[in-house]
Amino acid sequence: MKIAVLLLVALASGCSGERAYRSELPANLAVTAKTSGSLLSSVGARLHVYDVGPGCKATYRGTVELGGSRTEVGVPAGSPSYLVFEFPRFSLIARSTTHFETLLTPRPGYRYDLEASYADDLYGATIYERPPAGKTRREVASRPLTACGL
Amino acid sequence: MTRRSLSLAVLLSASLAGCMTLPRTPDLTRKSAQSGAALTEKDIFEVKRPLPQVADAFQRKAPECLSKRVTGRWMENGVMRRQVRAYKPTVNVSKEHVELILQSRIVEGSTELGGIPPDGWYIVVADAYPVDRNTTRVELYKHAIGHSIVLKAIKGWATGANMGCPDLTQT
Repeated sequence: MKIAVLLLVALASGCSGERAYRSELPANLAVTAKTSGSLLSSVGARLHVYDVGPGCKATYRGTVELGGSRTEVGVPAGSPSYLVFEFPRFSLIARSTTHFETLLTPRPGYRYDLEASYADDLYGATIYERPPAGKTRREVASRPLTACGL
Repeated sequence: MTRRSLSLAVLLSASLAGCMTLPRTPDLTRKSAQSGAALTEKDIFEVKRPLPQVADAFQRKAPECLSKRVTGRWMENGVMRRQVRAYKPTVNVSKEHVELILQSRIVEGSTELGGIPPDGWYIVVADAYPVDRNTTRVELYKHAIGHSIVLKAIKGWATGANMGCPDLTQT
């Protein structure tokens, strides 16, 4: 947990060697982000991807810039990933950033829809799981990094 | 200076002037909001959901959304200032009552005076009581500058209409 916090702090300070997330794995996450600011501010959305190892140690793998369209990425199935949605907000006088974090262990063959949103100062992300041959999806509860061993 | 830091400066000035205090107990937050004191807000409503469902929403969302540290930065006389505020939510559940309490205190950047409780001032209290099997009465109280977005978020969790987290950087 401490490591993840340190990484987040490093990311926020812009000195971490932040990089685009790249993966040769088959795409199993479809990510969309809807954000709305106001007349005087704008809100963006990004997704930071971390691998999670023994002892809940999180290792930064890269960042996905989220625009208005759907973005597909692959993360390892069968092992936990720590997903951190970042919502940077810019206005004429200030910049602020808020985060939504969750642990996700994708099941082999399953696909996941990640829907992030920021509107009217409320933000969040919802994860839906689709079985290999199924069309219906179910919501997956968010989990903190500390739940990685559970 | 951001809205947040301006609010904090006003709050600090007012505190130093001795013209206001923030609540040191959840009951004081309830009472001051019920009496319409300055900086308070209340929202009382009923939802067509059983109490355990409201309790579940509070238990799920409070740690996820409200257990945060928020960093504010602003320029003051050409110097970059930084302040970190910590939020601590607590949810207590019984058969007849669910309460969500939010405490807040500055943990870096400046010192708050006035006998602050260990985990911070009691800035928001949400109470939920069963009306009947499928109806719950929810009472939201706030005693702090800003933070209306927290009440809005808790209302969304209680009704189930919006499960979003409040952006505490905008309070």
